[in-house]
Formats: sequence, C-alpha cells, structure tokens
Amino acid sequence: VSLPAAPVGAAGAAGLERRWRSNPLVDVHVELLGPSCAAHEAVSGQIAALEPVDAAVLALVDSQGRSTADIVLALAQEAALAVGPELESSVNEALERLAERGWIEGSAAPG
Amino acid sequence: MTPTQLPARPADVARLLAGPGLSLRTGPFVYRLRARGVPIAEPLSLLYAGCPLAEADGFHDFDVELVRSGGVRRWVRPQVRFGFDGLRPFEPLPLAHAFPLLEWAMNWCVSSQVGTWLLIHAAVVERGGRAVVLPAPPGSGKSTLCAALVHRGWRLMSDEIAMVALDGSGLRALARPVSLKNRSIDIIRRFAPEAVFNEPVPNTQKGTVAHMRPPAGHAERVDVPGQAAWVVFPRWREHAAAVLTPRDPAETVVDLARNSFNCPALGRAGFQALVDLVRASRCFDFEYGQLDDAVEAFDRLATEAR
Repeated sequence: VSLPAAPVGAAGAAGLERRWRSNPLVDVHVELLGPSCAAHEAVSGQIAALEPVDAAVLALVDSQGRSTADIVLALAQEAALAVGPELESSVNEALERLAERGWIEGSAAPG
Repeated sequence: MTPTQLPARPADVARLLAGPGLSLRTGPFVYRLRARGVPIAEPLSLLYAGCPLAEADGFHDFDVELVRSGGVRRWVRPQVRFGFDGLRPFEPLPLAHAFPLLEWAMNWCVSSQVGTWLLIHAAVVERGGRAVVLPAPPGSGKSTLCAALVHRGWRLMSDEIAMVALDGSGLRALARPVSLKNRSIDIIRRFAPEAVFNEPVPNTQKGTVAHMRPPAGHAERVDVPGQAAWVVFPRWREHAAAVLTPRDPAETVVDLARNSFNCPALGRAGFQALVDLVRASRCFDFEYGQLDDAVEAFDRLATEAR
C-alpha cells in the first residue's frame, strides 16, 4: 500500500476513538487496476476511482464496527507499515472519504 | 423470394420498404425497416451496399418504421416520424431529415433496448485483431478520427456504439455508416477522396449531416470480433500536435461508465466488463490537430509489441 502524504497528527487522539462500521445498505466491490482501484456500489450503481488506501481501509471496516485506532493497527499489521501520525492521518482521511460516499458510517465524533 | 443482399437499385429498395419491409442485418441485429413515401431508399442502397438481408419471416430484433405525418403536413412542410414496435417515441422531423433520423433511430434501438452487451458511446476500429475503443462526447472529433483511420488500414467496427461482450469474448462490430457533421464532411472528403457519402442534409439538429459508407470489405467482416487493446479518449484542437498521454486505469473505468448507455442496468456484470476492458487495454488521452499526424500516432500504437 502506498500512502498519500497527509498532515502529521491530523487525526488526533479523539479521532482515534471514533468507531466506524460498514453501511449495511450498500454492496461495494473493489478491483485493483494498476496504481489505483475502481469500485462499484451495486445498490446505487455508483462507479468510482479509489486510492488504494481507501480500498484497504474499506476492507478493514466491518459490520460490527471498529475504532479508527483498530483500523490503523490492522492496516499497519497487514501491510507492514509503521504506526504513527502519518498513517493515522491517512486512515482518517480515507475513512472520511468513504463516509462521504455513504459506504461506511461513523459514530459521532467524540468531544 | 427475399434477396440475400441489399439490392443495388434504389427502386428495388423502395419496393421492399413499402411492402413487406427490408430485413437488414447489421452485426448481430436484424432490423425490419418499413417506409412509404419517405426518401431513404437512395441513401440506403448507397451506404449499405452489399449488406446482408435476413429472411423476411425470420426473427427481427427491431421493427422500425418511418411514417410521413398526416393532415396538412402531407402537403405543406412535410414531416416524418420514427415508429418502433408500434410506438412513436420522438417528435417528427422535416421529411428531408428522414435518412439521418433513420440512422439515429437505429442507434437508439441498440442503445436503449439491448442488454446482452455492455454498450459504450464510442467508435471502435481494429487492426490485426486488436481494437481501439474511442469514447468521447459529441464535438471531440471521434467520428472524424474514426473515418480517417478506416481509410488508412484500420477496420471499422463501429462509429457510435462499442459493444463489449459480457463473457470476455471481445468487441462485436456493427460496421454501419459513419456519421459526419459540418466541417468534418469536407475534411474527410479531402483526406480520403475515395470515401463514399450520401448527399449532405443541412439544418438538422446537429447541423449539416452526411453519412460515409464503410470502406470496401469492412461490412463483410462484421462478424469478426476484435480484442480490446487500447482505450483512447480523443480531443481535436486546432493546430495541436498529436500527443498520446497515458491515463489512470481506474479513472478510465469511471469515464467509460459515464459514456456507457447501459452500465447501470447491467449491475456488477457491466462493471466487471469495464474492468476487464481496461485491464486488457493501454489507456490514453489523445489530442490532435491534423488527421495525418493522428493516423501516424495510431500506426505507432499498432506496431507495438503485444
């Protein structure tokens, strides 16, 4: 996974506690195409290009719900990445983009 | 007895149109065309010369009729309507626009009714079994480029609709006449003096429109499929050098979906067909200003190693 540059520490400690779950009303299928990914959401028919980090994060969000911190750890473990503010920011940004598409849902931001 | 090929004489075509219908086969589709008192026999016999005819009592995919409007419009500013399976989905047009209307209607039949292929608004040309898909919005120079390429060694598969098999078996050809508008008509006449056109029809919704017959032998090879090797989004700009710029594959899937007629209706199968098409292809944006330069750029693509 190659991560886009992100501002260090953008997620913040509070953001790491936020919980995310997949939207049960959508059905997303992702295909890796060279340096990027194409995704199809079957219910709306939406087709979108995704950053690989978005695709990886989407795969780690399940229906039970996980915190941002859990997702960061899981991604770091599976992709052999170092946990740190840069990874946290990248994951947080990916989560926000996926939530904006309506493919995942976040709990209310703490604080 | 039904002739097996489109008759060469317009009078014979007119008789079929006014009688049992003309069972025209283009690619995988059979149209039953009917028209009485509508001036389409001449351009049909010119532009579809050699096109196979199907059995008149066999299966027809599309039952198409061009009908002259009634009432006072029979005599004053006469009009023509397109009928499809007994429906009349569009407003009538001036009678002089009958042939462009027929061509648009035939495209509409495929793009709105067919669900067995993924359909993309794109031209397709082929060489050595490898096909270039040229998706583009109107005004991008897609048809002009397509018309030029098919007079320089590329085979015409389609000018308007790329038909992508959902089982991965490649692209299917239609090999119907190429629609050219306004300046493009004279540009192609100069570029390929051997090209055969019908009489241009002025003042249509798209300006002056003429149709170009597929070059000799192209319609006869309509059943030969092509394998996608390139997806090229063309854009004509005056004086621009011919430049192919690689484009992101995932963005290409998104842009092809935007140019597709039926991808949403096909669901995941449509998406998968787009992904497979892009995986099999090198993807480019292509800007050009001169047709000779454009053809040279495509010839370089064709000589690339597989």
